[in-house]
Amino acid sequence: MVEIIEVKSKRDIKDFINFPLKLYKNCPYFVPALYGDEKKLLMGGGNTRDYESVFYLAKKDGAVFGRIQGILHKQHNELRNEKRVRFTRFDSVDDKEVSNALFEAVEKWAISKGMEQICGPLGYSDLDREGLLIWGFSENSTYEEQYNYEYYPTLVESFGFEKEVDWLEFELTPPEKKNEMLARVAKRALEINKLHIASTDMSKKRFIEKYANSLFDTIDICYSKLYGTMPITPEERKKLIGDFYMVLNVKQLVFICNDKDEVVAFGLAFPAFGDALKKSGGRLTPLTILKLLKTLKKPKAIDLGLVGIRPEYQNSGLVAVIIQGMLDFFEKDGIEKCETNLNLETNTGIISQWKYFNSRNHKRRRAYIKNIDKEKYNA
Amino acid sequence: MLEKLKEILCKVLPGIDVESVTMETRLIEDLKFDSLALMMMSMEIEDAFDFRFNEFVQFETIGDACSYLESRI
Repeated sequence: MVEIIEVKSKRDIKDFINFPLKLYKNCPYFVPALYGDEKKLLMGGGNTRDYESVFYLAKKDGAVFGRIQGILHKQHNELRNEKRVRFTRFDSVDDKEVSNALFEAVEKWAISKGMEQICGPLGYSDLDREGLLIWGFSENSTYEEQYNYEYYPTLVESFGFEKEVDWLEFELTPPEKKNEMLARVAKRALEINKLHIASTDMSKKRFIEKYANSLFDTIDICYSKLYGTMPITPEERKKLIGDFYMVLNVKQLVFICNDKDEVVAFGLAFPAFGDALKKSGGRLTPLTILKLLKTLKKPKAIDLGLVGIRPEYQNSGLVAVIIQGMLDFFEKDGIEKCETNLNLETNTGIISQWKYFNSRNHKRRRAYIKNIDKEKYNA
Repeated sequence: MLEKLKEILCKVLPGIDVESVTMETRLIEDLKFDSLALMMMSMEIEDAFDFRFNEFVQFETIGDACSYLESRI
C-alpha cells in the first residue's frame, strides 16, 4: 500500500532531497542538483508571491519509493489564460502504483486550487531543469538538466499524460575545416548593425553589474513566446546571478551590445561541470570543490545555457557572431565539445545553426500535459 | 543578372540545384536559407558588384535581389 506524505518536517525534506541520490546512486549519467540549493528551496516551502508549491513523498512501509513537486505558477496562468499546475522533481521506482499515487496527489492539490490541467516536468522558469528524458538514456546529463531512467516515460504516459512539446539536444564539436566565410559574416554583421561585442576586460563582478539587467531584459523579450517561459522576476534575476556566479567565465560569453552598451544578443556558455558533481551527492565537499575549480580553470567541454537575439536584429547575421564566438572558445581554450542543452523542436531558427559544427542529436526531452478528471476524485 | 546571382548562390550553399532557380524562387521557403546564409549572400553580392550595403537588406525572392541590384548598379 502506497502512502502519500506531504513534506513538512526536516526529516521529510531530507528524504525528499536524498531520494534521487539513492535511486541514481549507481547511474553513471546522473548529475545531482546542489544539495544546499535544494534544501534552501524546500525549507522555504517553494512559495513566493507568484507561486504556490507542494512537495510529496510516496512511502511503502516507511521507506521512500517516490517524490514529486507541484507548482502553481499564478503569473503564467494569468498571462496565458490557463488553469494549470506544473509537476517537477518527479522521481519514482519502476512501479505504477507509486507514480500514479504521486500524480493523483498533485491532481487533488490542483483541484483544490481550482486548476484543470497538469503539465510537466516544468520548474519555476525555463532556466530550471525541465522535460522528461525520452531518448538518449546512455548519454551523460549536464548540470542544467535532469536525468531519468528509461521506465519514466511509461510511468507518466500510463497515467494519461500526452505529449505537449519536445526539446532536442545536440552535442557539438568543432568542424574539421575552418569556415572563413563565417568569420567574415560575423565581422560584417557587427558593422552593418552598428553593434559591438562587450569587452570582457574587467572583473567578473563589474561585468555582471554592467550587463546583467540588459541581458535579462533581452532574455525576457527573446523568450516571451516560447513554451513554458515567463519574464524573469527581480528576485529570480538575483537568485540566478548567485547560482551561476561561481561557474561563470566571462571569457566564454558572447554579449553583443548597441551603442548604449545594452545587450541585444547573447550566447551564454558555462564550463561543463556535470562530471565534477557526479558522485558528490550535490554536496560541495573539499574534493568536489577541487574538481569544480579544476573544471572551471581548464574545461574540456562547455554547456550552452541560452542563445537569444532581439527581434529587431533577427535575420541580420548576428547568429554568425555568436557561432563564431563559440568556435573561438573551442580554438582558444581547447574546448573539445559543447552540449546545447534544450532546444524546442519547433525552434528551427537555432537548430539549423548547428550545421556549422559537427553536430549529433543525442537526446530528446518531453513536456507532458493532461486534463484533470475531477469526477475521478469525487467518486 | 540571374546567372550572376546563381553563381553567388552556389558559393553560399554548395550543392544547391541552381538550374531550378528562377526569378520567383524564394530564398527562405524554397532554398531553405537561414539568417546566416542570407548574410553570406549579401556579402558575396557586395564583393561581386563592388558596393557596400548601408544596412541589412533581406530579399524574399531572387527576383527581389535582381531588382535591387539593377537599381544600385
